[in-house]
Amino acid sequence: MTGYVLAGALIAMAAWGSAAIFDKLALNAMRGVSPLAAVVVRMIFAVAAVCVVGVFSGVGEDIIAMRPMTFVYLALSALFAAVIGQVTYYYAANAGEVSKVVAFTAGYPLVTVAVAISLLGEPLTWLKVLGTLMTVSGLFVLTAFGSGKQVIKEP
Amino acid sequence: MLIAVLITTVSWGLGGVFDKLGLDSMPDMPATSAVVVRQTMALVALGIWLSVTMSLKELRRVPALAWVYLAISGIFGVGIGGIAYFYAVQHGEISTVVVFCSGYPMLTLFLAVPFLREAVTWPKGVGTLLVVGGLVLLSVSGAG
Repeated sequence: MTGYVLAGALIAMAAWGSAAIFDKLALNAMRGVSPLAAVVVRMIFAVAAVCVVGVFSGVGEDIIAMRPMTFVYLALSALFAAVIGQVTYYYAANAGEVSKVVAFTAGYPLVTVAVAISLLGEPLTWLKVLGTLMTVSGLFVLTAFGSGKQVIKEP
Repeated sequence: MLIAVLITTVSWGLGGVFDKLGLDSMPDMPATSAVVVRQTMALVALGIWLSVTMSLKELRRVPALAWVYLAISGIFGVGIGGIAYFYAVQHGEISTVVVFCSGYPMLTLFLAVPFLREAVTWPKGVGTLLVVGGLVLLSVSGAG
């Protein structure tokens, strides 16, 4: 990873990891209310924040100039990750044991890696394989045995 | 239940792939513009889903304190974190960035010790060592 990519990934990881603490505090404060409402509220503020950043960095013209295919890809990302994945996650968590659901779904990066290598042609290296397996194994241990209840999935 | 878990895992895994395809199709534009479009579409879709399955009135039942916590989480986690993630995806390999960023529960678990007063356990220690080791390997795994 280059320095800029590593910096971006580290900031994202730190932001998501810290935000989850506030998700937990929020859910503790709203017992009896659907977590889906929490997801919507959180997304309202997220959209407001990125729109403010977007206005100040002048991305309006970029958005207008986007190709239709870009919109399609971003819509599919939103549909799969933010809607279908989120809804089925809540269904599974309600139907079964949350710890097992969280532990199994921690393997989602394996799907990304498999598709990225097979369809996007990204290179497969031993370091990447080992790093991916260690990270996913560690997440499995944390979520299955470490009481890591991932209530709201990022991003 | 197993089918729902499988759909969840595949959906989250595919989300990153479509992020990368979207960013690759706009090579000369800043990642922030993609974040604005993607998160707005996600908000609209989630709002529709909430209104269909329950009611938007469910939002009124969210207490004021929870709104504050969710605002902090939304602005920093989904907002700032989302921009940083899209920047990393735009300039790196999705197969590396997604795995790297997926390590965030490790940070949450350790922040939960002082802030939520959760206990430090052996599985947390072992899991953290594995995640950190994996992240180090990914960070030196070459271009992207």
